[in-house]
Amino acid sequence: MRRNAVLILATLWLSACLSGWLVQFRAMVHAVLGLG
Amino acid sequence: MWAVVLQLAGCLGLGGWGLAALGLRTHAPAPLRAVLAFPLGMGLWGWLLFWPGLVGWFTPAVMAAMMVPALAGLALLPGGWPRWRRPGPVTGLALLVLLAAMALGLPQALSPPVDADTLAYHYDLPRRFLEAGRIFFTPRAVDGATPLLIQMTYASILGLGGEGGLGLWAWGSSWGLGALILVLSRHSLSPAVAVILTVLVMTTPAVLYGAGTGQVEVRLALFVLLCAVALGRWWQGGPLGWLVLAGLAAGFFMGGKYTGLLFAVAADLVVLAGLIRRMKQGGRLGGALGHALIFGVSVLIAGGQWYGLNWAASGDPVFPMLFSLLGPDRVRFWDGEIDAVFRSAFPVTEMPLAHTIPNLLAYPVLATFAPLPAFDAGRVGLGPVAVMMAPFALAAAWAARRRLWQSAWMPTLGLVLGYYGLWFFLGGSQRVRHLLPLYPLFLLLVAIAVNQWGKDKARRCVLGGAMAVVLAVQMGGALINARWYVSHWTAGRDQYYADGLPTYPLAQWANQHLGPTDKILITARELSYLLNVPFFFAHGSTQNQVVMATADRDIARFWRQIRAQGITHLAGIGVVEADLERLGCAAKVASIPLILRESRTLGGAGIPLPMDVQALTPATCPLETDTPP
Repeated sequence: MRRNAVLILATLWLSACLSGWLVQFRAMVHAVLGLG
Repeated sequence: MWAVVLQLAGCLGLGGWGLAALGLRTHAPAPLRAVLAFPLGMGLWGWLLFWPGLVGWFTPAVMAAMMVPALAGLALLPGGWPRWRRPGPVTGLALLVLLAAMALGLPQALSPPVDADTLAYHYDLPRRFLEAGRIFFTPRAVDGATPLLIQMTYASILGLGGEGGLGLWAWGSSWGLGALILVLSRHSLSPAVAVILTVLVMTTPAVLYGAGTGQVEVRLALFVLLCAVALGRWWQGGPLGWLVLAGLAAGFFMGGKYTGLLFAVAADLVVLAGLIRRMKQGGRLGGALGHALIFGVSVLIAGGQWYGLNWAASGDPVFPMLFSLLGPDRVRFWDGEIDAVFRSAFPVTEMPLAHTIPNLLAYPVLATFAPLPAFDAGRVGLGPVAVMMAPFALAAAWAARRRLWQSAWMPTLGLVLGYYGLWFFLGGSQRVRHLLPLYPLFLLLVAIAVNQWGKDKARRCVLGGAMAVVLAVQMGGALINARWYVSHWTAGRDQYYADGLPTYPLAQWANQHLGPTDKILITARELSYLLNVPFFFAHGSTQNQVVMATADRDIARFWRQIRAQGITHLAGIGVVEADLERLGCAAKVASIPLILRESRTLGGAGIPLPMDVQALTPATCPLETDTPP
């Protein structure tokens, strides 16, 4: 039970980090290319 | 090409000499010996070249003569290499990705330099030193009066092989970092994880940005890793040679960038902690003081020469940072007025975050997910891996807390945390790439800790999946970086620079229309390397020879200063052109159409910005009467 909870938390954390980074990356590319 | 091969081999050879002289040749297995020899040799090569530069023997012939004994040191490296074993499927795939990452750097390595800082001073100063046959002090803050140990290695490439070798040397020396990470991580990680970690580091956006250019941070990371390994060995009771090696490595960082001073302090603190630990275990005070002295002297010998040059030339060893302490009587080329301009401009553009503990903790998160423009982290940041892995590394560190103090990685942790704290509170800029020299070491530490956390298969799958996504995005970045160079593979030099450097048409005009008796004042720093005629780079807040900030309010002084510099033409200064023309002191001779783009690599719409060039007309200028003959 505890093992699964750790895995789920780890997956959520990594996904949130990846999403945050990719959103930032996309915003930067849009800003550079003037896409609004 | 041959100059690059020779210099790579020469640095390895010098490192071989260095390790032998320190009595460490038999204290490390062959692969570690080789990857430590390269940064040691690169540091020694940059250090050695300073001296002929100082006495006016900065010539290709002297450099070639110095290379011969360096190459002989290669004989000290072989012996004891492990046998090649066929890699498993995951390791094999990871190795293919590694080779692809290396290959993606080649188009840039084989193209002319086009990065702005690189053209402004990393390659320009070595070019001017070679032309002068000696090194000299440049009275300009930030990118003039700066430690230039790494740039010395560019000078020898330029002298022995010409411009064509510069990119290749940058590429080859940066992969010295890849080799070092691979070998070091292999001690604690499986082959597949070690290779993946190496690719993750080498495709970090900030590494991609700097590795193939003259930017020094990637090469400074080699000195940081060298210092960390040496301190770790000494921490665990290794011979004194390791402590000297650590001191030399910290000194090389100090000789390569001002932030190396912070690193030297962090390394000093780690050494002091190690000495206190030894004394608690029964060591003598005298021995501890001796060790501290040996370390300090090694740092100063390896990194002090550029500070000495600054001090001798300007009166300030870290020109102009000690001006407020030393005062105008002791510091030349600077005064209170430009100091006020410099200090008011710098915090706004370079240090937007206040120096507080909450900001210290928030900086890595902000720099990764919501970077301020001053962090310079949107395009060329450190990637998300460190932040993603931090909780797992902390969990592993907590689990191993009782054994941590004895670990060879303890000094490493001290170096990383010490440098980060010192940099955040005392550093001059919050650009994220100033952390890059420490980043590979930090990531290595994190990877070793996370490896402990991810022992079971399910955890490994979660971590591996996340890393695969990061790797895919970063490899995409490497591909995009390479694409621009590939698309300009067949372009001539003028077309290449016209597409890659918005201000290039100005350099083209100046090289075609001006001669050796002219001197053009420029405000676009990236033109420095490309100009084949005399020029003066008049930055608004980092030099005091031509004061730009008040030029429109005190035009007579501005005129005196540009005449004192022997300037004959002005280009795009943007403050006093109309006044000078109205007074009859200058006449427009050209209007050059420039198109400014946000990014060379990503493209984007351009903004037209014509730049006027004026020729000075002293004969009709009423201000000329004030000018001393």
